[in-house]
Amino acid sequence: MGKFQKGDTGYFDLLLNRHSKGVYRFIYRMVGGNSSNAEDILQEVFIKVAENRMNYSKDKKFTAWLYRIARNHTIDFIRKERYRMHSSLDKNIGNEDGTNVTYLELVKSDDRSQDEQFHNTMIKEQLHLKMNGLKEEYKEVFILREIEGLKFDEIAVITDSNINSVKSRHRYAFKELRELLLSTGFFDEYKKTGEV
Amino acid sequence: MDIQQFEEMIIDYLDGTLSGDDKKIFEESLNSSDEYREIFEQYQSIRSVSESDHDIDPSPEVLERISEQVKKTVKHEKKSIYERWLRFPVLAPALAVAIIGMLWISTGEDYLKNKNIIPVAENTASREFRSDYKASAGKLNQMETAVEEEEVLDKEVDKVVSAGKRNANVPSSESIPAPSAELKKKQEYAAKPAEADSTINNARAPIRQKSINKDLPKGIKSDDRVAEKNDAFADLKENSRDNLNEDKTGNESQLAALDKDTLKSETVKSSNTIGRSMSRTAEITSSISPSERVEIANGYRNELNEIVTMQYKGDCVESIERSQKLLEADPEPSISIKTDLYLLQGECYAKLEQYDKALEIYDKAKELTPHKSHLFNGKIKEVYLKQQK
Repeated sequence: MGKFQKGDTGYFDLLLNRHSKGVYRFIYRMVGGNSSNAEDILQEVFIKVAENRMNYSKDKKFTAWLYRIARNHTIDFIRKERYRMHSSLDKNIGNEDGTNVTYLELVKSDDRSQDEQFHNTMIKEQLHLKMNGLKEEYKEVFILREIEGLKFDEIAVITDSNINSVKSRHRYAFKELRELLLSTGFFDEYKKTGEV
Repeated sequence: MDIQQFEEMIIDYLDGTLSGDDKKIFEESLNSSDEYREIFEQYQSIRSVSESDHDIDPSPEVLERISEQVKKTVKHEKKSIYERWLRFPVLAPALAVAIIGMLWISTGEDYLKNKNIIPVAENTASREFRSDYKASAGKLNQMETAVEEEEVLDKEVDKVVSAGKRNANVPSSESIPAPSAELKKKQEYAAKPAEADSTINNARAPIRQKSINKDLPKGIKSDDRVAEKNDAFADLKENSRDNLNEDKTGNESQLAALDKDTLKSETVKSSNTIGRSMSRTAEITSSISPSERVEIANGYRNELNEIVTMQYKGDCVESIERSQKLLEADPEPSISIKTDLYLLQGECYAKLEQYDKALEIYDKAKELTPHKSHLFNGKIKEVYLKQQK
């Protein structure tokens, strides 16, 4: 980051390469799985990083600083666009072999010959659907901790709150998610993962 | 322990952050109830599915677009800084003067003049010697020119005198037509060579006086006789040469004396006072000049950028080959470039599912940059996770 601050744009490419995937996943999940919106926000985030590079000081952790920018942009986006994160059951979900199937078709399908990867995609999709039903403050903590693997103290910096609040939100997120998933058959499907 | 308490402790238990007693109580509850066990397994499954949710990546086109956009932004910022300077015309010249002044002070007058370090004492002696030599040489040239002019003048005088003598030898006035008034005058002079000489000399006196006074040093007076003047010039010329030789010998001996002891101490003194100049000289004399170094570093950086772009586009094999070439380049790249190259190589090997190779690269990078080991530890963890999957 220090070299990029001095104007060496080659180092920006390295930063982009290292962090873009994690930030993109966070944004993508936060906006309910809309890749087009997620890519637009990702672009805004990294341009913001470039514009504000002189405000970054070495005593801060870069990841926390970056995710904080990403989080603020994402929340702004959601509020501005009055984004409603409810995925349609008719939404197309990608298949590895290039074909598209709807979630309903997947749920209805009782064909045990589906390969394991396909089965996993379905389970993940169930989780994401329910994750979108979580409150924003629980959802962001859950994504940062469980998907991106950040530490609680880093999440506290990103979300501008204290570590105990973060831990508490994380517990609530798990609790609510478990309750939401109980009715979907998620846990039964998960148990079958090894059998497929 | 009720369900609510149990549920609150699950995450801490999964994270391994429960204290000894709490852990014991939690495990007892877990083993005593099927309901608790089921809840625990449900938490585990949520975590397991979430952790594996890493298969979403932004498209390479978006990353390229961001990279280009940021480069434009940075370029625009640099341009605006120059424009700001141009808006305040006083500041730019003031800055230029300050920079030149600092350069002058830091690099030293002698360095700027001579481009290499010459001791101050030697410089002074050489300068004095050179100015003395120039003054003496100028004086000598003036004198030589004066002597040459005098010689030309003498030749003309001789011609006139011999012509007068030839006319005096004519045998009879009858065989010759009546002479003109001018010829008569000449004949009269020829009949009296001594008188002619004196007339000519009188006519030349002001010219000679002027010429001699111009070149002769004070205290030497002109003589009517050319021979005496020539002698005086010859003496003067010889004296000047002697003086010049003495000056030269004196300067040389002074210089020789300086060479032995003083010169050394003066060199040490001057090198201490202008230490920065010495270091600059050392740079200049080293095998690679600073400008060449900058060029090489820029070249490496450009190559690194190309390798990064290549990796974006998914060409991992080519990216590994080129990064390996850059790692083996001579002169070797900086540690920061090497670190980036190892990171790129490791990521590429992981992408190609050559996990052992990726781990080997990260271990090598950790040895090279122990202060960045946390970065590579994270990468190693990623590789292990991928391997397990």
